[in-house]
Amino acid sequence: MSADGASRSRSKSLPARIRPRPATVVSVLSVLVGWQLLSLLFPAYRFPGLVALAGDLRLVVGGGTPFDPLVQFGATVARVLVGFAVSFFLATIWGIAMGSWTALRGYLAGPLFVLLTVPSVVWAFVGVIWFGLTEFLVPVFVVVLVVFPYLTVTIWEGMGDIDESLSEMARAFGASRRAVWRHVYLPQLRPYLFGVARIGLAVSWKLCLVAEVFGSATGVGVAVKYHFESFENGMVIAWAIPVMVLIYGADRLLRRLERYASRWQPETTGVRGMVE
Amino acid sequence: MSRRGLGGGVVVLLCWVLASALAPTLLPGPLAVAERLPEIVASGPGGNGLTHLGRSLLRVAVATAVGLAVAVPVGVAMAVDDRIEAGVSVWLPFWMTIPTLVVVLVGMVLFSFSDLSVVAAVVVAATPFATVSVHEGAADVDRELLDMAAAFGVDRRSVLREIYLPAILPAVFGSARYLLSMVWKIVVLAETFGMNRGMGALFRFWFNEGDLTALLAALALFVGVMVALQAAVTGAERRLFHWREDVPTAR
Amino acid sequence: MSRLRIAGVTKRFEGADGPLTVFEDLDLTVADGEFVTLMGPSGCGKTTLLNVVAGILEPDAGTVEFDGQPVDPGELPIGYVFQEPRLLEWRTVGENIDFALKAAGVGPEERDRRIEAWLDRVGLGEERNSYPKQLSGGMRQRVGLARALAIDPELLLMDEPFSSLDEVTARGAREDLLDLWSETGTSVLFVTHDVAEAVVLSDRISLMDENGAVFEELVVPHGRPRQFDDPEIHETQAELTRLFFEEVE
Repeated sequence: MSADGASRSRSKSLPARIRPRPATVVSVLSVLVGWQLLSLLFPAYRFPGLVALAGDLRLVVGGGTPFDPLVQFGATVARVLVGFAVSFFLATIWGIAMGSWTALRGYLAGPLFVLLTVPSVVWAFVGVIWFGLTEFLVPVFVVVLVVFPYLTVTIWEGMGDIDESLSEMARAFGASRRAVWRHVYLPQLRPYLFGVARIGLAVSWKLCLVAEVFGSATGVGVAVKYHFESFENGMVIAWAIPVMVLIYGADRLLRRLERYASRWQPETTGVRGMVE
Repeated sequence: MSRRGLGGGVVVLLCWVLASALAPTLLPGPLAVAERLPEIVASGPGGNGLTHLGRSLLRVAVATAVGLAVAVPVGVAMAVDDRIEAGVSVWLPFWMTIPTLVVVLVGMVLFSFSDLSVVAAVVVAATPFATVSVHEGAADVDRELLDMAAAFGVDRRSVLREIYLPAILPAVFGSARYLLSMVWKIVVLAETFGMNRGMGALFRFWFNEGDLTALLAALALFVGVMVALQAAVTGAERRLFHWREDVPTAR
Repeated sequence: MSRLRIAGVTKRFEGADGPLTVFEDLDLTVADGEFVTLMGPSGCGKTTLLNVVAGILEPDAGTVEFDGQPVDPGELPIGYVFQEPRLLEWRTVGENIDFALKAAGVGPEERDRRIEAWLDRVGLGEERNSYPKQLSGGMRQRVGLARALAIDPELLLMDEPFSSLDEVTARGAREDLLDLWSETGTSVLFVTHDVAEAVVLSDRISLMDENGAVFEELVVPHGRPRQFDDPEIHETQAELTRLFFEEVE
């Protein structure tokens, strides 16, 4: 193999994740084989094998169930997005407020902690008692009440890690309040905001499903509940897969953005560290 | 902390009183809920409140123990061996998207609505997160301390006991606390689907009755126990890891 | 006879852009009871050399001899004081010293006696049961020194131990170090990039350039005890600085 200097340095600059590592291949294969072996232990309706699951998935996506896939998936995705957006918006403001005014923190930490201990089903129950079966209200209510305190606490912790000496530096140079936020606070908060967005999105989807089971007439949750009641585990799993893939894709996208946003952080090669 | 916690509690109570005064039909006030509390504790469907609580506690304890028993070895193995780390981490972002509800429902049908259903669902849904937190703690082992031990010719056993263990132990405790807070919620969720006993079953019963006051009273019992439990774990943690406390050096 | 003799030692690391030679064919000696300083710019491989002598790193070539015998550095009782104190924060000050003493195979009563004695000698007699995080930076560094000396080392390695201390604290620590050194007569291999420190402390100074080569050796002509503000010492410091910057840009 002849590799001239240019092409070699090019291949080196490619991130390692493009070539799947052997450990990855082994891991993916062993999980698939494990799933298949496990399915042999149970009747198919309880634990479908990979082939049966693929069949169920085709049924779900092709509309071969009592539910229209476009309507259910559309409803769920819309609710997840609305619930997540509201939580993220509120949590950013609330978290920054808590981080900025220590006096406020003492009073807000307690209520948030109590909110965090309430199980999501109970929120769904309360939501249904209050609002009945709704298109958006109950799912968004549940998502916001659970995701919002969680995101707030994380952002607030991020505020605690902010390097105050940099803010002092900025003030010493007479930087405006706006400039301090833009150039000092936000860049330091950014990793937290990204982390929180990625987790928040995944959690929002999980909660939305719970809320839909009890408080909605449409959505993936309703379809899942229907198949659960007829003991069709394969269909239950198959209904979840498309949204899982979607959320996974969104997570990867956010990860890319995060990498781009923190490109000022040099990748450590480790050699320097070894020498000194 | 306790004074602040008290302040926070007062704020919650005030908000509650205010909200219930504004919409008494929608939100029963704290007093109305407190009045129902003795009834919830002493009697109820399928046994009194303490039976339900005890049943949930037992499931939580077993599920947390099983979860830790899986998470600690896997997390430590990930910290020690890069290949294991790579193999496990491929799945983590995807695992995050698996809805707890689906795990619970599948577990129910799979193990015929038994205690095993609940424990299996919890272990599948929560263990990966605990594994990550153990791994992060174990990966935190200070390489410079390992060099220091090598320079002084310290043997492997002492290094494991004096350097690795103290680094991993707080992580294990942290993930136990983390696991506990997740396990509670999953257990309650699982119990609402086809269980006769447990706090989840109790919540579902009062939901079906449409009795918000009783539901909130049961919730108050649950939250009270949760807060006490978390405080106990935090207290034990603080005693165990007193060396982590920074004391100002005013000497 | 020299206590420590490093002959033809080479160390390379596998870097992203091929192997990276830290130093090549390096020679260095420390006589019995001698205080030798290795001085060089940051990143020239001083720490790597200490790690080779301490047995943390394997050299790619060359030998390390002790009292005329080639040895495996891992076997030697060597005391090492690091740039940061590297204490076990979850163990008390006493237990940190015990950690090294146990590894050196010292019996329990003797360990207890030595911990007591050495903490007294570094002025931390009261702090045996304190945790490292409760101490100031200077105190922590002195625990590191007590740990290294308590094992009664054949050779004391010191890697810029005072570089993270403020000048007043560092000056006190240097005086204490010289006192302890003259009492114990331990051979010392000291690493620094601070010219003034090197002249005040050492019997002999080896100057290293950015490429890890020793380009000059200098015997410090002053007797002891030395006054830190002695004008003659300042003169030697100035001369050494000039010598150093002629070679190292």
